[in-house]
Amino acid sequence: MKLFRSLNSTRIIIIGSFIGALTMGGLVYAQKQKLAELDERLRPSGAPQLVAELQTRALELANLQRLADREQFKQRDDAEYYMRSVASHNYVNIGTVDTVRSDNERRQGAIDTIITIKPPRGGKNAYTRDSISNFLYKLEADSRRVRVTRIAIRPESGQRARPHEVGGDRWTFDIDATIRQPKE
Amino acid sequence: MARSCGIRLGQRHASLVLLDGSAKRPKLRAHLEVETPVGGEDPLDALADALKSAVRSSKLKLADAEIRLAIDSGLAAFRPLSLPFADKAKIEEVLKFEIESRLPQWDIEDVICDFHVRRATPVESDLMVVAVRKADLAARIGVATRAGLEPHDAEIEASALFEAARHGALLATDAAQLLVHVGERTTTLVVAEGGRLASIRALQLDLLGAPQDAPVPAEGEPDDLATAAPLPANVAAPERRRNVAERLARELLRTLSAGQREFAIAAVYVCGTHLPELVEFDAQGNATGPHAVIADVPLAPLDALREAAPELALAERLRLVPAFGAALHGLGANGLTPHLRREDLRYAGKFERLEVPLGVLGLFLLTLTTALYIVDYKVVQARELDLGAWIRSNDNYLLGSTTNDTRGRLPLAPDAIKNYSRAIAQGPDGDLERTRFEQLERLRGLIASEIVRLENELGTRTEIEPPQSALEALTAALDVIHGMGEQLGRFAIREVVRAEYRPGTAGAPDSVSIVLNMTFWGDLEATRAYNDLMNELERQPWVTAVARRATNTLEGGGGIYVDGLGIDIDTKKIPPPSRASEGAL
Repeated sequence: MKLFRSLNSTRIIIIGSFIGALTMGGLVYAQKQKLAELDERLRPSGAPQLVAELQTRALELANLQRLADREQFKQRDDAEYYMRSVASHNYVNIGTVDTVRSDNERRQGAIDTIITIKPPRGGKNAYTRDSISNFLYKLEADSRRVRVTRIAIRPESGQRARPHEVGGDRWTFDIDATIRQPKE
Repeated sequence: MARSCGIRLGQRHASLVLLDGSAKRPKLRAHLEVETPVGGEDPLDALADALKSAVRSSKLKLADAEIRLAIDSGLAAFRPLSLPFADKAKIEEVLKFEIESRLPQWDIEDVICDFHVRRATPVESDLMVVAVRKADLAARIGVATRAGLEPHDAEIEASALFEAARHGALLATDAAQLLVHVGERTTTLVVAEGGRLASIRALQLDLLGAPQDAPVPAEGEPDDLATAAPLPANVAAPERRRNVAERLARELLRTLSAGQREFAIAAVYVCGTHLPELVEFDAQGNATGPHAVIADVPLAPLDALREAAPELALAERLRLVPAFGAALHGLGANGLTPHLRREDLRYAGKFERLEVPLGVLGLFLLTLTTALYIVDYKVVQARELDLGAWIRSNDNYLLGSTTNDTRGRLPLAPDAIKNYSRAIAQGPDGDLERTRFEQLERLRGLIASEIVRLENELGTRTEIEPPQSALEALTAALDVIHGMGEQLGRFAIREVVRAEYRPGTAGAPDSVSIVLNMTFWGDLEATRAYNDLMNELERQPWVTAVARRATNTLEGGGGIYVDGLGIDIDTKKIPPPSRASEGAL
């Protein structure tokens, strides 16, 4: 109460102006901090670099979207089904194949799923070089996950020519396609 | 504990009393007196210097003491005033206006007026107005200030005398008393009736013969309220003292015999300068001398310091009475409430003196900080706009611009990315929870999340190195053979015995091992072609080993054949294929 009694206009101005100046000082300090942060953000290493990185990532994403569009063998798909579908592709025209699946831990921390693909037993087993090479190419081209890891191409059975003879250009094959995944 | 310092400033004499305790039970902690000789320099200057050196040599600590100044009553004019109200604020408002016509000798603007309430009812007040010229008061305040004792308030000796007598229980409520202070120039007479102030007189009875600057009393004032005429200055000292005593005795007699009082004066209390020509007191306070009894009223010492300073001699105690009374006011005694430091002579404490500079400083700081805030705010806005430009530019790059009719680089962006990018490109309101930079970071996060989602979808998000492709290795080897063209002449790959990936071991990296059966026709050209092929393969940086095999002559001649021709290839060393050599389909 004594304080209020001793208040006069000058003291009210002093108190008010100092409180106001302190408050404004706090706001100015906060504003300065914000300004310093904005200046830092606008340096070449700030927003310009972030935008450049963002655009690079956007291009990466666009590429992935295109790959995803083309990808025939997605993670949720069955590997053997994929192999058979490639074998049946118009440009391949191999048709039915036999597949044997095996798992092998050839690399620490990774499981190699190996699909051995052969012409069907007892069925058609002679193909042109185009068919076989297109089959091998499409196995890898249609999926980033599949690698052809073993290839054996021999003349059609029963048509084996001797070294000085020219064969009939009909071939059979025996291949491994491998899908490597991290061990769960 | 409260401390109070009372100073009585006369013409050539000053006394100082330092008290602590309370107004009811004060203790004398220190006292001093200074006196300057007659003649020479300005008496006030001399008094200031003497007081200053006395205070310094006594090492009094007065920083926390309330300092009160009692000035010579002869400097004041006393006027009774009756007003039809008793409210103090109203009295203050009208005081100068009411008293102006009663002080014809002074310009009212040059005067400080104080008042003491003698009697008051709710509808009427009877006042004793004390008027002092501002110049006189300022000069006395200056003396004290120069001595390092700036007073918080000032009064005249008469009010200090009254307060001292009140403290000494000398003011009986059923009688009247006459209080006398004998000063070196002015003798103050105060009449108290029923414990209240009744009247004040200041008699110009100069004991020293010094030049005088007392106010001229107004004509027509009642005798007991006006100052008495001064003595001539050319009278010798012993004669002067006798004259002063005689005149004072006559004035006392006149006062005692004056009528119109509620109570008769029962006692005369004397203090101040020792004047044996009037009366002398022994240690017990018994009066002797030519005027020990006047009109059957005995003179007695105004011994207000009896309890506060019993160790002092009576004569010394009597000289300190006005300073003691002023100090009592400093301790809160409120028999009277004198207040002469007012208007432009008002006391200003340290803080009050700093008020204006502080106010100006505060306003300056407020203006400065406000200006800084506004400037910074504008700059921040500009920076935000700059960041906004980056965000809009990025949005145009990703999603295209309808304004410029350009296509974005991310036409198939998921809705989350598309909507967020569009929203923040519109303005900061697109995401109020984040700053502009954080909005960009958030957009980057959305794109990164989508990349992770797609990589997981494609099964390519792994740190594990994929196995080397036998197809790639075989294609590279066949490409070398194809590239040699006519150099190899006529040849045939009779069988790809195997092209097989071999996982690396501790000493060897991953590789692909190729085994071919080949035939070369011709005589010498066949062998040369075979050697050229081996040499060409060995030159390839990605061929890690070539297993040369023994050649056999074809049946019937005409060429050679080789079975189990081995080539080891590290596909990681194969340079990326050009567009032209990419897949057949």
